[in-house]
Amino acid sequence: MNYLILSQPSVDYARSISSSLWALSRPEHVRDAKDVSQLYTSWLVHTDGRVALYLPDETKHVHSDGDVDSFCGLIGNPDVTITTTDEEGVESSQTLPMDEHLNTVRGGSINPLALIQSTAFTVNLKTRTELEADGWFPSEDI
Amino acid sequence: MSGDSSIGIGIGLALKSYGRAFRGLLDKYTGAAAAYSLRKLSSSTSNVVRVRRSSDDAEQDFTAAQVDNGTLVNFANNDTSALYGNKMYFDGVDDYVSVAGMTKSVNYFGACTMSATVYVTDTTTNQVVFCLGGASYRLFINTDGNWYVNTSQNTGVAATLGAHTVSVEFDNSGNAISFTLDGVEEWTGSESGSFAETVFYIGARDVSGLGRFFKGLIYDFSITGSSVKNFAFNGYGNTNADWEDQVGSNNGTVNGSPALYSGQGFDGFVATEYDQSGAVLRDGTQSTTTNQPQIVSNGALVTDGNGNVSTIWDGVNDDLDVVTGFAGLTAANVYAVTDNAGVVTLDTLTAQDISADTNLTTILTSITYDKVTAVIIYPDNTNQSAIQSEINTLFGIA
Repeated sequence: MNYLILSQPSVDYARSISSSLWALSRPEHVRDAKDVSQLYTSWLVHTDGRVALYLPDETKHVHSDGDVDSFCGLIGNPDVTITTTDEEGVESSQTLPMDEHLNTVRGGSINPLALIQSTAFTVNLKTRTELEADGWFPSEDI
Repeated sequence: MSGDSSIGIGIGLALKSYGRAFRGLLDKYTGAAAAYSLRKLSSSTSNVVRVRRSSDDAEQDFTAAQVDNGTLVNFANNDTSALYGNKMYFDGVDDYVSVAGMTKSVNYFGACTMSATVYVTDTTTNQVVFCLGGASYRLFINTDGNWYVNTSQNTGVAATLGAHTVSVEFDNSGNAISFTLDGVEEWTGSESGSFAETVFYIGARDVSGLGRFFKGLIYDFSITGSSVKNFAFNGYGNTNADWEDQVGSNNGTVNGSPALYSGQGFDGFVATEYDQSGAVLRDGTQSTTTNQPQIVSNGALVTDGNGNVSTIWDGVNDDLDVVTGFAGLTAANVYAVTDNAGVVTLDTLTAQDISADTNLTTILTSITYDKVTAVIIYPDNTNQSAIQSEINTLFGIA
């Protein structure tokens, strides 16, 4: 399990990012009034105030009309590096703003964890084990 | 006399058609504070669950009958139930079809058109639909999510999830010159091939080793217009017989260990489990997708060890919140049908303090489980043994 420690230690910020990730697959015009789901993922709050967003390692649909701008705007539209490997094993990388990348994959899928790993924010990704060692899951007094 | 007989039959059929009115647990033992189950527990129950499908995050309500009759699964698998059991699922790991007997040449087939029907389940990885050897007569999805042809030509056309017909036209030199998606020509140009080999592949390619395996479905493949060799496969199964050439004798060979398609990759999650008690609205809901219990896994309903439709709870953050809570209810009898490692039990949590509980994991905190089949809450222990007996019978608990 992977968590992104947010630059802004704010639950509201975490909620906004989670909501905007959700909006990538469910733009408003395809939502139903009875829809329950509103957030993509959950978050943790450290006793010292830091907030970490849970990022599962899974693919997620990007609707052809998904709201790319909201999500990218919230996290500062970082550059993403997309690496391809040719048939001789030579890797080539393309770096572009995240919104440009997401606009090209509309209708397809992304892996939100891999997406963050392809940005400078990868240094803020932590495993559950690392968070446990850092006191994010204090043991309950019995 | 024949008239009397027909009247008798008519009355009998009429009575039979009405049948006995449904009378569930909650009708027999009234006064429940909340009741969650994928079975119908009350004559007044309509929908029992609202499900989000993972493929596009759409949601829909379902009755207990729709849970059982395949309607829910067909929703979760994006309406692909008709493909179950009659298509080969390429697992993206090692499944592919090979056709031997070609010549190692980037223009071996000459001018031709290669077509197929594909069901795309992932656009984040490099996956080959077809090719001669490594990168000739090739169509693939690259890691940027676009369709590519031959060696490395990006068509600029985004690959999208779901079913598509694809077609690539090649010229006499083996150059890809057009790409048609769902009947519309989306790209034209000229891209040469490379790394030709003597084997034609469907669902993989070979450049110093096999790789770039396709994840999803490929069927109705054909090569037409070639002056050298044309062949066509139905691909309506996972055996060599299903990949026999329909126009000649260039039969395909199935490699890997492909399963028949049965909804692989399609999942469904519980957004709401409706309270069937009807007393006070206490639906169990979860608005955060990663915290939703799972009801469809890889195209199949989740079932407990007794075969009841159930839900998987990950033990980390899965939960259903009871938004209205249990205010006014200080203690209750909670009947929980759960499954732990395939063993289904009914736990009766007597006189449990649930006054502050607004989610089901807190209510069930004293129980070890990985699946939850039903939770039924009564305000007291009235008729406890009779209710336990009824629940045991209903869910096949010995």
